[in-house]
Amino acid sequence: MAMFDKILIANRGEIALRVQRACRELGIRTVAVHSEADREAKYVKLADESVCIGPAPSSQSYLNVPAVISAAEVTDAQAIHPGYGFLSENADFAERVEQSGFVFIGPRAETIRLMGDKVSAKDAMRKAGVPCVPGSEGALPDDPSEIIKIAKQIGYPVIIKAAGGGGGRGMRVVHTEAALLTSVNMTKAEAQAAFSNPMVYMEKYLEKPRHIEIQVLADQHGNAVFLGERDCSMQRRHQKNSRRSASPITQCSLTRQNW
Amino acid sequence: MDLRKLKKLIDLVEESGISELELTEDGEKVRISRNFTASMPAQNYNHYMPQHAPAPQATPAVAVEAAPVAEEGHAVKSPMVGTFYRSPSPDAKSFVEVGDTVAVGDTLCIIEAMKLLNEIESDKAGVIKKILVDNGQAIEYGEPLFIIG
Repeated sequence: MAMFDKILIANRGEIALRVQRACRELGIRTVAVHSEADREAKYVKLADESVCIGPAPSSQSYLNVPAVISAAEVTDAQAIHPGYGFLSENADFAERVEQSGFVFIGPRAETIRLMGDKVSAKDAMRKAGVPCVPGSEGALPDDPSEIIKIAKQIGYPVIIKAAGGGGGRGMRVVHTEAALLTSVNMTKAEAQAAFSNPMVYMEKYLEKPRHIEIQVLADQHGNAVFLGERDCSMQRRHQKNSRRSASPITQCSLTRQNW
Repeated sequence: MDLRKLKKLIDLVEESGISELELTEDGEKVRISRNFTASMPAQNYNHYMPQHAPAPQATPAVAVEAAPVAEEGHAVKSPMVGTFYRSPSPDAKSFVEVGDTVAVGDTLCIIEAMKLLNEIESDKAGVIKKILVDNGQAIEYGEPLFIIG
């Protein structure tokens, strides 16, 4: 199995260092990219090569797709590792990387698109037979009487969620029918402003849930590894504050049985 | 152990508060140590010993890493990452030579990025004093290309 000779890491700070460390262990040379403000950062100095890709603002540097891809071109890198945040969940970036002749170290662009849209993601999970929180089957229709009917079926409280949302934003809980339609309209308006996508869907609102992730890592050769569970219940403003593995509430026998 | 890696280690030690660093890799070992003496100002290190490695020729940089000498005139900097070309095509004449007079908006060079050729225009009027990069060289954002006086 051929290994890459050189990888460009489209990120900075601790994740850039971690990827560099993995590359070092595998004998892969590394290219760091940085904004003008990060020129003296340690991750830049520890890479084998570095390229300045823009001024300080992220939008003009770390999020600047042509600059990142050009940096891979001029350094003859073979693959780009996006790290986390920044462009790592940007399907267009993944697509352009591949179109430019580089390997994108991550999911395929269509997978990122499928899972980035919460409505299509939920649909894919239902088709795969994964039990989901009861909710509207897909995006909410425009007809107010339909919306009221769906909420009645699910049972209050319900939560309205933006299909393109993320980072804990674009959600609104509704406890009574009287507040329903206004809440839907407000969430749609916010979703349009924040994510340029007004599509929303509805779900049963779980008032005291625990948020537990089951993590599976797979490669393109059919290998998959179960990384265990991660309890992400500690949150602030709906954003994960800290994570625990193993979860304090699941039992060993349960996870062993299912996996 | 190659000199480039060694130089990187030396730089890291100099810039941090580390007084001694020992590294073993593939059977080769290097130790870099630094003595601060009370009478000397902190910036003066003249005492370091790499061991078990070929002694580098140059003494460690007591001076700061050489910054590009300030040129007289206006530096035209690259607005993008790419490859620098002096002429519109391999056989054509260069856009400008040293000594040419240019106006604001005149094309000075091409930077190729993602298979697109971008013409870089002068943002100052004057005479080309210096061309700082070579034809075909990889360019980063903000890299000085020309000096116009």
